[in-house]
Amino acid sequence: MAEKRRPIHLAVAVSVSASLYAVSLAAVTGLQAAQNSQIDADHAPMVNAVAQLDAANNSLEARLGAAGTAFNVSASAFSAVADRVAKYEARLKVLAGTVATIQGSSISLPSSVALPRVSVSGSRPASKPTVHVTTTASGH
Amino acid sequence: MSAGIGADARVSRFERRAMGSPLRFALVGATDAEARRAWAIVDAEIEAAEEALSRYRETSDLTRANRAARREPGLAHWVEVDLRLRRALVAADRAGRRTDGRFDARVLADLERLGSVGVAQSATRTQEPADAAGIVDPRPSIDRHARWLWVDGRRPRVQLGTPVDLGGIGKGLALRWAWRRFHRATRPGIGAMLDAGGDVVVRGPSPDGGPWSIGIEDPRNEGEHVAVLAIEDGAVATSSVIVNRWRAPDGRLVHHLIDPATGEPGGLGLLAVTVAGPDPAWAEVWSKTLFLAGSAGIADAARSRGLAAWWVTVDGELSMTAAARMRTAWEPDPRRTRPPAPQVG
Repeated sequence: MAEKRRPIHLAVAVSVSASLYAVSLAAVTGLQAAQNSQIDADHAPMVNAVAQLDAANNSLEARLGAAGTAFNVSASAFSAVADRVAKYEARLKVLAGTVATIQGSSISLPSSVALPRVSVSGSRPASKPTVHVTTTASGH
Repeated sequence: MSAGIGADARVSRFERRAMGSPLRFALVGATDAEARRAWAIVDAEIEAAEEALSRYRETSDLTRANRAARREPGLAHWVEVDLRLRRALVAADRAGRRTDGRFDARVLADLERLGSVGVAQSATRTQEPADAAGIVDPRPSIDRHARWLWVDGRRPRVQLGTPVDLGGIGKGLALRWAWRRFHRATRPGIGAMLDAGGDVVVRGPSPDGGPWSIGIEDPRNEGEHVAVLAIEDGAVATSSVIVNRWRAPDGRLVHHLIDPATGEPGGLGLLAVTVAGPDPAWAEVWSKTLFLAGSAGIADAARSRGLAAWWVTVDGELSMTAAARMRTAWEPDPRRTRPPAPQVG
């Protein structure tokens, strides 16, 4: 009787193929993981830079807000000062008018006035008192 | 010494020459022993001051310091000196600042250029004003803004950048120091007067019992007075051009009161200026400073500082500040001594 042959070679072929597939799949997976790691490493500086840029942008926005507030305060103060300057200008105009009036009056005044001599004989001796010492030119 | 002058008070008088002038000292109401001790104090201090400050003495500290300054002009050398000279130089520097440069001890260079040789040039009195004609492009010999004095705060030594003359302020300081020492050593109630060639310091009472009568000599008439002051306690100094004047090498008549701004004799229109104050050194400084303001500027200069000042112009007219009038006991009748004031309307 002919011995019935069992198809072992098929099972071996299937096993070998499956093994090859598994090995290939493992290699592909490993390569893909390495590639992903490399990509992540390459992206990290850009991610950091974007984060810093975001923080700087937030800070700038805050400072712009503060500057805007300060500008509003300064504008209010300037308005107040401008009002006071206008008042001072008005007062200066009045003062200038007064000075012009005084100058006009002073021109009409004499350059000097001759006052009458005042006699002081009542409070001082008419005759020269005894002189104890004389102050005079010195040699030095 | 003479004693017994005056009504009741005993008056003691002493006299010798110092600083180129007569030095006179009078005490009222002191015993002989007190008077001799006081004179010894004054005499010693005046001598020590002259030995330190005089440029007329070969051995003085000032002469040594000036020699060091001349050796290499502009380069200062430390010179060991008496404390009095250091104090006097500091005072002169301060006087320059207080008077806005009108007082300047460095005018010695100009004095020497004009022919002053360090001694009284002439004893002949003259009423001629100094010659203004012939002065071409007046220019001082010194840089007014340059520093000229360095002092060592720990040792009695100084450096001078240029030679200096302490004539007037030196005499005033000598009087100040002698007067302070006398004042500290003498009991109250003793009147005194110290006169060094026209610079006078007094304290009451006088031989008459009241304030001291100090005459301002008429610069046009020796021995006459243009006013008499009544001073109870204080000093009086006069700057005048009547005595110390001479012919410069170019023939001009010049005097010793040099304007630091021009390097030439100053005080146009004035013959003499007298200042009264509490201290003889400052009275000297201000009398010289006011003199240099000239007849045109002296009234404003004196009144703005509140000084008691009297001045005589080349016309012989006496003027004074309000503070001076309060101290004036007598002046000639102005109707006889002054021309009538011009009527300006």
